[in-house]
Amino acid sequence: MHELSIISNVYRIVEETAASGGLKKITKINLMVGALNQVVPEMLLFAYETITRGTFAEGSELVIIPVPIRMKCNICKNVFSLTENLFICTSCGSPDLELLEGKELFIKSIEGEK
Amino acid sequence: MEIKVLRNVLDRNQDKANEVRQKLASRKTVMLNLISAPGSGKTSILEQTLGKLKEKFRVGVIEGDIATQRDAMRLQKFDIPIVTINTEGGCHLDSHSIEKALQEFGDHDLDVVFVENVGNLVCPSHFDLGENCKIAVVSATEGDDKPEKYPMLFREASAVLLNKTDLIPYTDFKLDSFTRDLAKLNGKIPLFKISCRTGSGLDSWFDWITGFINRSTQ
Repeated sequence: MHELSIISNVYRIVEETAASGGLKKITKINLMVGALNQVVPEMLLFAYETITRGTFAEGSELVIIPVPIRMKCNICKNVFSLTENLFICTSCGSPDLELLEGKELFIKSIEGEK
Repeated sequence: MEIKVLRNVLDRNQDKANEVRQKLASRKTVMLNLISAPGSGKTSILEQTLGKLKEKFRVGVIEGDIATQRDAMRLQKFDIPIVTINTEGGCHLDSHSIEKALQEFGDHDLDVVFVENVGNLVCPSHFDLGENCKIAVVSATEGDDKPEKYPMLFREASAVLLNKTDLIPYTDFKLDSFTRDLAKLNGKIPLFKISCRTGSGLDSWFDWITGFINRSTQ
């Protein structure tokens, strides 16, 4: 997954949110990253540092909140987390599953100064 | 001061994809997004499939590539509407460029649009184009470990085409290993073992895609 493209979009949303919220300086971004995206955290941090240089978010912290993969079985309704890439119900063994969490690329919140 | 945001980072693309999806549904046009690594055989699969589907449906193709019109030129012999998107370095198509491409079909009232995405197993899975389904294409010359390496694609796709099966005897590709790994990722996904060169396995694929298109417009 190209981390630079993700961060470009993050920065766009940060700018929009800061404008409507009256923030003049950004100190922290809380970013939820679902495990299914297979994003490399170090590359995300590097891209963030690069893109925010010279902006009102320079020096701010990007906090990556990993979101594990959680599935719901459509057959027995069991809800479970995945510890490895084995998409089979831990209760009944069915592959008929619905993804509940794990695909997110969400900005949870932004912290800054007015 | 903390501001709660809870916004999808890829919301711009997703919102447009949702719009595209609605427009296609209102026109009863089924759009399929072919995703694979470079050289797996997407264009060859289209060459085989278009000839067959043309008899039953009004088909169009959106060709996505970083550069050149080479894939589109290979499909010209089918005399169907083709729109090319050159991403000029972009490694995946997005819903905004798909919307523009669909507009370029103009008055053509199409039943089916195939999107041949940029050759890339990673990024296209993350960018909803507004399609009815994703079709994952892998080939026997890429190694049998693709499902485990690219879980998002194999979870999201509605079908997998394993192409170049005629070359399996000349490689270390282990079919049982591949199908076992695929079942671990997605136990429900239909797998079509094909060779565009020999024609092997293509009839099952044609049956499935025809059925999918018919079901999608009901």
